[in-house]
Amino acid sequence: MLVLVALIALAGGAAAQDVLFARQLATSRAQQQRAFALAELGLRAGMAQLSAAMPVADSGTLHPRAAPPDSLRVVLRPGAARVPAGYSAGRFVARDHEIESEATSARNARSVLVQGVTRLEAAGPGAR
Amino acid sequence: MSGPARLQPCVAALLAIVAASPARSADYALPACLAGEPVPLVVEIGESTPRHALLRGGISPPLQIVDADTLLPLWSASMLPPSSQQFGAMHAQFAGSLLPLDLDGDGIHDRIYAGDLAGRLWRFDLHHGQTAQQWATGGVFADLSRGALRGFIAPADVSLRAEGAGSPAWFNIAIGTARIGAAPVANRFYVLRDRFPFETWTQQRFDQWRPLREANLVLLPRLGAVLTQPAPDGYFIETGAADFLSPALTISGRATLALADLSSLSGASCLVAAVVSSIDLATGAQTTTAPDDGAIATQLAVEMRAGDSFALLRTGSHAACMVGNVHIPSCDVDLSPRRTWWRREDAD
Repeated sequence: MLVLVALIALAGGAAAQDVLFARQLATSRAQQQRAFALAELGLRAGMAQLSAAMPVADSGTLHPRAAPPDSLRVVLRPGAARVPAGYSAGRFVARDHEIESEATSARNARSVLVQGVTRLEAAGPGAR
Repeated sequence: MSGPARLQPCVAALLAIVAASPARSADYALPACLAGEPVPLVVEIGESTPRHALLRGGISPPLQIVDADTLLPLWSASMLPPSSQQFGAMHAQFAGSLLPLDLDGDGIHDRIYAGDLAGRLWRFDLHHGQTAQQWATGGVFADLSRGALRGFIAPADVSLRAEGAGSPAWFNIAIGTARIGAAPVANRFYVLRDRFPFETWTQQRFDQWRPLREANLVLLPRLGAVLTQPAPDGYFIETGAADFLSPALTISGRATLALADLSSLSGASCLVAAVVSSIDLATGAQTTTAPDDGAIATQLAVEMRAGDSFALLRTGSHAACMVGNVHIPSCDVDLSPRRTWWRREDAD
């Protein structure tokens, strides 16, 4: 009888640990997804920045949600410029950019996404 | 300095003035506002640090580059000394038809296209860091003079054209002529192909080049006519008495151009009546410039300052194309960023 009780207790303990572990895993997964969603939000913010004439190169640390652990940083890196096909050379350049979006959430969840974009930039005489 | 050597600069200046195109019309002087303004550019002449400079056309020397801050001369080109470099065919004056280009996006200009008042388009390849005596190689890229009193006042409009991936790229050089005498002339709008857009030519290569002539080009008898045959070297449109005083602007392969009526030029303000039109550079076909009361307009009458470029007024990611206060929808441009690739850098 004592052996049976011990076995049931062991099985119950193992089941409880499984449940706890699964819950921790699910929470970590949810936090990771949260960080990923934030990083995607950062890419959209970077695209919006690049739509402006004078984009802000580094957003600094942002806290887009009320939850304190959530943070986001968007960095724009200009790359090579070239003569764009079909547009007046000297009046326009095509420039590649990288948008790096780094988001963190609770439980050290972290997501870094990098989006490559190309942008036509007005230059030369007559550009305002 | 010996006697002949002392005389040489004077002879060169005299020759340049005599040979310069305006002199061919004794009673006509180019209005001051059509003489062109210095064009900013970044150069490395005899040094390895980029320097802001101004490129200007003139009579003697026909081309000169000066430091943008001190106005000290850095480089000059003419037919005869004294100048940094001599080009045998440079007997005509340059006005405002000057276009420096940065071909590799490093902020330093690599090429100059310059049109002279004799109707010839010059190409210069610039060699960074070389001394002023070796800084440029160049020559006449297209000789379109044919003896008429018309020349290039407005800068060329150069745009890269590539027929799909893998096929060779070329420059479409769109440039129109203007009268350089008092009387109207039969003007042209040229679309030339430079099949070597990113090559840097040696002087020997320039000397071997046979300049494009009208005989190499396909003739379109009027604005609105369409190419019906291949035009490997380009084509030209006969545009009548209308003068090209401003550079064209190419957006998505369509060039918007202003055909000015020089007889309407007012001296003080330099305002001139013009008709804005738009063509497809590949075919020459006229495209619409603006919706007009529900109908489609192919031309738009405006008043503009002679020599002014089409301005781009940016609002967010859209730039409206303007001439003065008149909106030209055909050259509006979308400046939105476009996604190219994506990657995830965190370990999952």
